[in-house]
Amino acid sequence: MFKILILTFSLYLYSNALVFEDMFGEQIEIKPNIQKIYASNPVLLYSLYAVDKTKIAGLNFPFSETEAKYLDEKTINLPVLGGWFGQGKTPNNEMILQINPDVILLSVTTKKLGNQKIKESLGGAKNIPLIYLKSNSLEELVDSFSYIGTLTNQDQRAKKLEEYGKNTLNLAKEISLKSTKKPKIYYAEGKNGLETECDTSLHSELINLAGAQNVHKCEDTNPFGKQSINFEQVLGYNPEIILVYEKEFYQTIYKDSKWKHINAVKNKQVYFLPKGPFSWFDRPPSFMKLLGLKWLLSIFHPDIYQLDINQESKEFYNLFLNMQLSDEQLNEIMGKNLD
Amino acid sequence: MLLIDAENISFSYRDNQVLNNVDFQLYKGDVLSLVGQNGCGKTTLLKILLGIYKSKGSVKLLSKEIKEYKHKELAKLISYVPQTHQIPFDYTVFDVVLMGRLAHIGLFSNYSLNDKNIALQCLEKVGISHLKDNIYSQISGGERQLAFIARALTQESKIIFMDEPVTGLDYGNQLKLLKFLKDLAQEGYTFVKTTHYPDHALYASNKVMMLKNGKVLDVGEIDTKLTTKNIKELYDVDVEIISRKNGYKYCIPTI
Amino acid sequence: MKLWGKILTKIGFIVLTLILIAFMNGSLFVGNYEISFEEYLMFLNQLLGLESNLSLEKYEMLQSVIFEIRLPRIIAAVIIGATLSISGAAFQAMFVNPLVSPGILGVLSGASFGAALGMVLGWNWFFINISTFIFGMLAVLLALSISFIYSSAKNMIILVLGGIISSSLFSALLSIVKYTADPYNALPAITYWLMGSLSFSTSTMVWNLSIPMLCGVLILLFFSKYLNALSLGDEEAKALGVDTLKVKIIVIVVATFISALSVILAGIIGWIGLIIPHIARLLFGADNKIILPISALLGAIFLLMVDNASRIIFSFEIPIGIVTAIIGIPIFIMVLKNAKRGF
Repeated sequence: MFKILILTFSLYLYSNALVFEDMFGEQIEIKPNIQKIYASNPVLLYSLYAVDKTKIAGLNFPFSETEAKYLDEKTINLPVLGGWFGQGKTPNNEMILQINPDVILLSVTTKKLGNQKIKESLGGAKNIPLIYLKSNSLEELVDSFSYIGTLTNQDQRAKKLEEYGKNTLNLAKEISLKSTKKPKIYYAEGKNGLETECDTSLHSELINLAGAQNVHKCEDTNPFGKQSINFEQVLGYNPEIILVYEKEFYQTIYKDSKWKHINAVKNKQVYFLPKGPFSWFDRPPSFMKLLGLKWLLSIFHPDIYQLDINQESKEFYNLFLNMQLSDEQLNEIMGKNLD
Repeated sequence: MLLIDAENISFSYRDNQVLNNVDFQLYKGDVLSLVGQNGCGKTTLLKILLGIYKSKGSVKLLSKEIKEYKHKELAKLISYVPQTHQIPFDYTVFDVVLMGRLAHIGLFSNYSLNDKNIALQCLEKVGISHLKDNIYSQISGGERQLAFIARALTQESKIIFMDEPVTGLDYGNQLKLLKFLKDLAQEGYTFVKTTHYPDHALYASNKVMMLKNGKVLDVGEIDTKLTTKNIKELYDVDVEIISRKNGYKYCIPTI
Repeated sequence: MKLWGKILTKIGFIVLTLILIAFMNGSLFVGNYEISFEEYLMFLNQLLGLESNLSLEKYEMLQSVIFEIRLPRIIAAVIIGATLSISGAAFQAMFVNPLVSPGILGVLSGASFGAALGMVLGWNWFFINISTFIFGMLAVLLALSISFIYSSAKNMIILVLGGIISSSLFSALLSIVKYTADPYNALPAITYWLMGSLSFSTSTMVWNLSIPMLCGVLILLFFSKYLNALSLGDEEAKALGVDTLKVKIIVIVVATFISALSVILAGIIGWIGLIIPHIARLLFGADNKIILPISALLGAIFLLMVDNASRIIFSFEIPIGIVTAIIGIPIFIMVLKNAKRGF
């Protein structure tokens, strides 16, 4: 009799736990109705926002004013829990314990720190189920949607986002094959435009994905990237198109007496990388890169692919961010008010 | 001609009354010896007269308060030969002597040929020309003292203050230095020197000022003021002051 | 033991000046953008108004490269090298201490904080520069105030302590700023800037700031004779006619001023202010009238050489502060080994 009771009890317990398989094939036990997810890294946080923002347990760091403009009010006011990102930051384990999320999402980069270190950083919160997701490249990011969908019980929505992603990536592959040449692109970061990324870096992967070539050819010396170069190198590269990250630099490049010698400047092929809430290109990397990819395809291969960026942006913002983008907002995001 | 007129000088340092009510006058050509025990305030008095410390009371140099002189102006009138000490840098003797000309050159100028000649002449006068390119910290104590004197002469000030100038010199060099001072006094220089040796005072100076515990015990012509009684008061020892036929005086201990 | 004769010293001066000029010219020629010797000559010809075979476009391009990119950078290297070295030499003389560098009173910590603050608050470069300068001067003011409060004798050790306190305060403030900085943009920008680089400044900044910096260097040169007297001790210096308080304040203010300006141009470049005066002293003796100008020359040559090397060797900009340390330390050890004289 006693044995039957125990058996029934265990079956009851067992059926109330789910087994979730993460992106590494690991099986993790989670509870069935997840309400709070702590994404320990901004890329994962933003993807979680896109799939189901109501399940966010807390932020990695406060959103800036420009980001907050395009995000949901409730989300902006969520508590800050820290996370593993930037250069050596770690989560605030007491806050996490207080909030007590149902699962924690971690990136593959964090996984490299090793189980022990991670448990140490989490302190009292270490018993919360840890789910590892790969999300470094755009392809991985798109793949991660379905996992987040399962966790948040939003499989259908996740599927829609994944579809958009897969379609965009396929479109990019198609156009890259079709086009006869890869335009030379220089990615200008920093206030003086003299910081950039290596062509092999994930930071500038959109250039490669969009069927073009990054003029700065090298191997990254560290994952953070952002190499400083001097202007003579840019002169040597003489890029056809320049993508600019900083507003300050974009506003001065056409007036600068040295840059005028570069082909991209001569032919007015300098583009400001749109940003709002997050960059369409990088820093931070997010699902917005999908829109960025489409946009770049239209710039790099105008003869093959034409895009009504206005319409596409509005559809994208509606789908991913659940917001109705006005023309004014789009202009601001694309830096049209800077010209 | 009255050069320095000091009235009622008082000076305390950290609740310690170092000098109290000091009066005296200094005339051109005087060689004034400042005598007293250690800690009686001799060196402090010198520094007040050099404008390094500020005291209560009035000290006039050529009818103007010392406090009102700028350092550069004062340096043209008074120079200082400190007790010989080590210098942390490898300056040459010539470098050190040439510094005596600082009071005479402007901010935007450098030492002129004239300045350098004066320094050379003073080195010659003091007798250490052969040492001019040696490193100052590597010559002997006596030679260092002479270098400082050469520097004071280079400053072209007519009043020279010296703090125990015979320190570190052997007996022969001590006497030679004192003779040198007497000769310079004949040329018109005025000296104030602190000394531990009444004999030296008797030999080289015409005036003496005795300080005891920061107060003036007595001041005036050395013949009349440096007496057995005063020496007993100052140092608590018995001496007899003997005169020789050539006019020189000296102390013989009778203790 | 006798020092090098005056003649050798004069020769030393001339040789160093010639080396500097030669280096400056050579540096114009060096860089990532390939200019053949022929093109360089043709460019010079056209510059002087003579005929040449260069197309207008090519000529304008060379003009851009040489006058807008290389020349300002060369000037920046020369003036910053001279500034930091002479400030270090002046402070080492004034504090009678071989371990002292231009940052001893806190100017580098203060300037770092000012720049980081501006970057975190998202100001544009103009205001960041102003902030850098103001906080650099404020840090030294703080050090001076601390020493004035605690010592009526205004002695040098208290001044050094005041500098240590001020530096520590501003370092702590800098840490706070770094902690609150956006980890994707502001924080890396700050970190990189703090490592120093000659690529930060625009040519306008270089032209504008090098004039006051040069003036500061000249002023310090005029004061070098007083530094000799100061090293003998305050009292003796006063007796020699030197207004010691005035000299100390002016030297501190001027050295701080030009050091702060150098931080605006190129971030924090360490080691030069400490090492170069030592090398000068080991070669030429201790007379500050000689050491200060020699330090300036040596510092200019050294920084120019280091910058050229890092431009040629690496395809990306390497923080110059790192390079000065890596090259400077072995050189210093070498010179130290060969030295027969003391400090």
